[in-house]
Amino acid sequence: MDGQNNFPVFISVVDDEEDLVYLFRDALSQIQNVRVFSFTDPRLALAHFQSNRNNYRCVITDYRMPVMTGIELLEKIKEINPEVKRILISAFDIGDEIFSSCQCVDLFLQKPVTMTNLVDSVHACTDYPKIK
Amino acid sequence: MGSVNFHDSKDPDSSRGYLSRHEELLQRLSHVPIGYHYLVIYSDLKKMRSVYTACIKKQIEEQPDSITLVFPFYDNTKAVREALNSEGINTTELEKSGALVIVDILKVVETQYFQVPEVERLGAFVKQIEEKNKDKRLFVIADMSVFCHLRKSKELLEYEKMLQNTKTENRKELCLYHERDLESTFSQTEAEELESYHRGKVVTV
Repeated sequence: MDGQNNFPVFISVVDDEEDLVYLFRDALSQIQNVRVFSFTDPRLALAHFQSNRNNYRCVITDYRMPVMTGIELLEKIKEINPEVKRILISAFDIGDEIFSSCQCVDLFLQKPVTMTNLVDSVHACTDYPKIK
Repeated sequence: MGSVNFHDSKDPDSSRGYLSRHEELLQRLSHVPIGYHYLVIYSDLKKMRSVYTACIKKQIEEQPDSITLVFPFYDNTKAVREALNSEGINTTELEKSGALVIVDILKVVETQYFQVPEVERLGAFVKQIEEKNKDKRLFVIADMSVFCHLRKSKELLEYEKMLQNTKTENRKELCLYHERDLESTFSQTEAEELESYHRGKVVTV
């Protein structure tokens, strides 16, 4: 695994709610050998991912966001690097037809999400050790 | 997009000089007169929440016999209720009495109940409530970013053009847009056209 080479791997958190994205970032920063990037604009998250595609391990995103939905973002992420784990978080009910049509979400979390649940989910998704 | 300068030298509040620009804008939006239709451009969710909580609170306090219709998009309906409850607004009671209606705008737009194009379904929903409550005034706050999400900008412009001539004597409306959605969805010409359909009543918060 990348972490065993002591080069941190990247995780990004994307949510148009600023307070929440910083909360998620701080919680995920507990994971060993991980650098967490937070974005409120999915376009910036995508641009960062494109520039660092081989360093990324996981992308966590909200669903309803301005300009680009979380699913649109994850579809583009998957095209660039299908190995990266993709987690969708939402306070809204997302129809099964949306999930079945996109095939780009590895894990769905319904808000409200506890920080423990988030960290455990990323840990489970990436087989990454949890605590520094 | 252009924005209206609301500074009014005759306004007693401005003589106090203690309100921030944001608070001043909220005060103005809370006093939008009946028959008016405003475009409100917000930069983030906090600003959006401050707009609808301030306006709804004022509406309920000053016109308790009116009906307030809230159609959020980026906030779910539970978050809207929590925001209003935190301002001392009893949403449970108000929704039970029909004085407050909170519906996810995407659900209204996607429903097949109204046999009209998607961009007209919100109007159809509001009209239905209006017809059942002819003696009451309506206050509508709708997050129109949903149409950017659905990539219906052209249809929206056509609909807004049609609405220009619609009389809304018993209603006032705030159409909310996230500024990023406006910038990414509409060309400069289209944005100016949208603004013109709101007769210059555009506020940026």
